[in-house]
Amino acid sequence: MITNKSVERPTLSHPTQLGKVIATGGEGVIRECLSHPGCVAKIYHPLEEEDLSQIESKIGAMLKMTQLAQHSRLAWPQKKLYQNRKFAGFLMRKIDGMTLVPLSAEVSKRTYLPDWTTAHIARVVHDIASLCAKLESHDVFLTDVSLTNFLTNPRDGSTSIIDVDSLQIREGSRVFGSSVFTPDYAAPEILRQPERLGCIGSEQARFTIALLFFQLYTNGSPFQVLEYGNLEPAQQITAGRHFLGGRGVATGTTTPEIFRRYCGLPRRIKWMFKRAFIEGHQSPSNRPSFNEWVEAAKRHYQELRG
Amino acid sequence: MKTHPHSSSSSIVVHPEIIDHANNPSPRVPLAILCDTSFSMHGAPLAALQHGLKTLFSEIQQDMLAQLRCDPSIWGFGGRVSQLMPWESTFVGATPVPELNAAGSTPLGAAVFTAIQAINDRRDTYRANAIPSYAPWVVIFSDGVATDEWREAAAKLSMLAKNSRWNVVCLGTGPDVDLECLAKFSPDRPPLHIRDASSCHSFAEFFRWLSASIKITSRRSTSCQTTMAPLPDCIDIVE
Repeated sequence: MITNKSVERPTLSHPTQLGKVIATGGEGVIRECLSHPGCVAKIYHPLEEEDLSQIESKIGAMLKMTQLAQHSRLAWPQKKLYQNRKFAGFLMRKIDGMTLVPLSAEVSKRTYLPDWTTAHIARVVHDIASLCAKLESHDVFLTDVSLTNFLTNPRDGSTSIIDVDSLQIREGSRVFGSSVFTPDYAAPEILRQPERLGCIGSEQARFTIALLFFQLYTNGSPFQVLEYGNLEPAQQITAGRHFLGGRGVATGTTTPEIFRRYCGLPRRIKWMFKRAFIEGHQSPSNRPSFNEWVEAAKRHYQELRG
Repeated sequence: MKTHPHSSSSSIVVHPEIIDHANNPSPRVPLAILCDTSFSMHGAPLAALQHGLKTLFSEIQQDMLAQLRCDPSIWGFGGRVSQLMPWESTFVGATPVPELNAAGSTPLGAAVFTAIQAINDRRDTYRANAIPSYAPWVVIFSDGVATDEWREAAAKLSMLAKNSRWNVVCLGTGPDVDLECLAKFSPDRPPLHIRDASSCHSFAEFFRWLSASIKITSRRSTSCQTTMAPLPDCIDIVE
């Protein structure tokens, strides 16, 4: 269950005692924190000194963002951790829940979230959009989108963001980019010019998050076009080949299942997706803002709940 | 029949939705496991390999993402090449690990050619269903010497590894394995070696490493370079 209790911020006087490993990732491991039960620790795998120093600076900058550190649905860093005087990782708020992975396929959704309806999906979309809007107000953006970077409450769909050290943040004129990049969710202008990855803006993040929302609603991508099945997802995005129609012209077809789920969405939500992927493909300013998604998803949720 | 993915039942259950791409449009990691089932593997070595395969599927099924994305198939080559387990999503309570029986010679070349064709056919199926796929994995186990014309197969597979990013992992077991032959299938990635062919522990560790590497792969974009997990100490890298 996701807890809304505020976390007692660890103080320097509290020695940190870590427990067992609870998750392992490409960058490090997540461990229980025995001395601070409301927190977990991320301990990085061995890294080059230069990379570790960069991460340490980034975490230091994140620690200064106190509003975000206090947000109950962001697993924000709370304290840096050192071992033998060397930066090792950080403590972060502990958040319970299930990743969004079960929502990527009907077969897993029926197994892990059998009671979920489209209303739950709308709640997830609303919460993620709301969190992204909050991050945006602090010039922080998601660049590494993965279903494992979000935790949801199986009971009501309330959703949080974890793995926040992969976010792009800014401290003054210095931008701390992400070391991780997901081409399958990237905006076309980033795919064409990967050097821009070091400093993405709101418009690129909106494209990325819209793709995530599309996946949550339909289990697919608007660029999952059968006629171009030999292309990788990033290539399909760059080429802008979608199945959404628009202006009476479709550039391709998709699987019956994805098409059925897309057609079943309310007109307003479909309009948001068309703005993001058709009008917004070459004109990023047309992409819906996070606050627009908050309103659209909220209305959708209310319509479904009656 | 539906079985909860975390049930402790060891019975073989094949969920009718496994192969249904409509119910699982996740990107796939095609994994072809080629097992030497020649006569010399009879007894403890084959039992250890079987135990390792069970470890692999058990590990993958504990990871929500990997179980949706990993698409394994198992071939045996002992006397002849046979597909012991068809392409299957691992999303189910128990993935059937086939019984391995040792007999005959070691047609390694034929096994590799068969696997390459099968992988290409499988990827055509993905494309027809608009399902993205990761670079394929081919894992080869052998404890002896190939008894057929294997060089052409080795050249083809190594070219796929070099030009198309296929991931080829060769594992030799026991004292009599021809490691030089295995090295030809993947020149850029030296073969691995388990000295004690009957060591259940070593096989289990190898398959844990393989499942960890698959999990890392399945968390990334399909266009990303493959990153392997760190190798366990009980596995030697043959330089």
